[in-house]
Amino acid sequence: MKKILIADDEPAIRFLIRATLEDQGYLLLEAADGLEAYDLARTELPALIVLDAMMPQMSGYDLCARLKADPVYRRIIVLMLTAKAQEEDRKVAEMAGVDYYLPKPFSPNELTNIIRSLLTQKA
Amino acid sequence: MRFGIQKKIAGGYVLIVFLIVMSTTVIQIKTNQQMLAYTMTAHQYHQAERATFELFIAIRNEETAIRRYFLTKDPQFVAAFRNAQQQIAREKEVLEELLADDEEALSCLQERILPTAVYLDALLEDALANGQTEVTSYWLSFPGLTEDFIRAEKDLYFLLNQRHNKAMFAQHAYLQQSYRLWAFILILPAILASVLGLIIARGITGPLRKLMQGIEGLKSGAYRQIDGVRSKDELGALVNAFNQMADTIERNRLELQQSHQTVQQALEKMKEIDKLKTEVLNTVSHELRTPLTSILGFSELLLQNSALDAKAEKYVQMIHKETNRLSQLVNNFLDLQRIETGQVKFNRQMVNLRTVIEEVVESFQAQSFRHTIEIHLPNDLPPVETDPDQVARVLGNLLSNALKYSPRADKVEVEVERVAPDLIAIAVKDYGLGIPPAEQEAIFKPFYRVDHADRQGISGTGLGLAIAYQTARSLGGELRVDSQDGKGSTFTFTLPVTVSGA
Repeated sequence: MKKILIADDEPAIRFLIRATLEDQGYLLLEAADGLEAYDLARTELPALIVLDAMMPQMSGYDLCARLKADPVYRRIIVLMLTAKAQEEDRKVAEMAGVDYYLPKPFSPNELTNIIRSLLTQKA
Repeated sequence: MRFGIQKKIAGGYVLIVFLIVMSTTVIQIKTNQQMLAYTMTAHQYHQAERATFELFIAIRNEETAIRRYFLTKDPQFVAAFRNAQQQIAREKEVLEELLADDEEALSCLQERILPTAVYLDALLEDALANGQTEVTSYWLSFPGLTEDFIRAEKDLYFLLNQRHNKAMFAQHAYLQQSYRLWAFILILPAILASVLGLIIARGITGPLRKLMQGIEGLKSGAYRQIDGVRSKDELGALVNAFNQMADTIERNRLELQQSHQTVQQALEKMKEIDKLKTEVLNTVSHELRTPLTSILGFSELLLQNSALDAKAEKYVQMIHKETNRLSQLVNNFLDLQRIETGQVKFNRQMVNLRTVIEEVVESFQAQSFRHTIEIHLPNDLPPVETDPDQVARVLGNLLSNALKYSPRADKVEVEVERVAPDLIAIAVKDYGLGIPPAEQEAIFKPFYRVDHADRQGISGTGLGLAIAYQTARSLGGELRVDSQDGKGSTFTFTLPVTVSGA
């Protein structure tokens, strides 16, 4: 069973993503801030992280950049969610090594499809 | 203005002329007096010389007469003697008067000349009284006009002549001296006039120079009062007027500066408020996204997975639709903010406009089953350099607008034309409701929507055209509308491009 880490400081969003993904056959983990997400990512080594860009303690960009700089953790797929659907942020995300970039608000259906295709691509 | 410059100069001139006239008059009078004195003296001695000469002749006549009388006893010679005697008396009187102040000449006359006459008188009187008229006795008693006498005559005459000449020489010398005095008197006013002119000139140029400095200062913005000019003439008045003018200018400048500052402050404050407003709106918009994401997401999940009854499903559909609209509004608003504040970075590249336009049209065609979107593209459209995303944004908003406001029409046309080598016009033409002429300018403003009964029920954010307009402008292009109320509108987007190979 593939592990997916949900990292977002908004409980409602975490709950939405969990509700979207819970029947899809994944093991779901949650983190409420950047540091917690970073720790969980290293200890649990999930297949994919649904990562919010703006989080307390450590931003999503920082977290992604750290993971992608490490030979062990770089294979974790990073799907970034952001409230800023802006060209510049997209660039920052690309530079941080984000695998996919999804602006909020997103459609749950779309999210499911994207995650499925990202995981099969990697597999 | 008690003493004008003109009066000053005239005053100086009059003063000089007065000085010249005064001094020349004084010298004239004094010289005349002196000259007269010398002339008088010379004349006096000249008279004395003549009188002496007459006296000498008279004495000789007397001697001749007395000698002839002694020789001939002819009484006519006594008469001649008497004549000579009277002559001598007259001349003596004249001489004594003329030489009253000259002791030397007088003594010479009285001691060495006149005794001879006195002796002759006495000789004749004695002869007449005693009858002794022998020549012998004459010769015995009178030795004639001796050498001493003649020498005395010479001395007196020479003395008088000397005195006469002395007076003449003195007059001449005085004349010489007075010429020098004249020259001096004429030079002095010239010097005086020069000094006076210099003083007056300084009185004029001094204030003028200060005035020049003041004007230069004012010109370069350094305000300074002119002081140290105390003249009460036109220049003084000019300096006063200048100072007043400079005062006024300075006061106006300060007032202007102050009001400029006030305006500047107000402007700053307004900018700050505007910035704050934008920030608040941005923050609010961003903050709206998270709850919007939740609402949208959960309503979608509800629609997908739950076994809702027909009523509940309809309600959830409404929630989903309206939330979508709100989300669109937030996105559009943020887009507009970014375009207006110049945050959009352009990604220029060589593109095939046909592809860009066809892609946009295709996506909109998929949304509307009722309309057919026709594309009219020239076949020879070359690849151009521009930002395809921004072109798509403009065209998308125009198409969205055209489809929305032509509910009863069945087609929308997109017409592309190369109006100039480096200018492409993209026109979106609909056959819908149209825009009243009075509102054709306002529709490009954010949140502006034409408010008419026939438009009710058409939902929109009022931001689409504003975004299209701002984007067109930021691409260096223009967006115009040509519309007839009730018959449709044509929006034309002119886009300057760099044509490949050109």
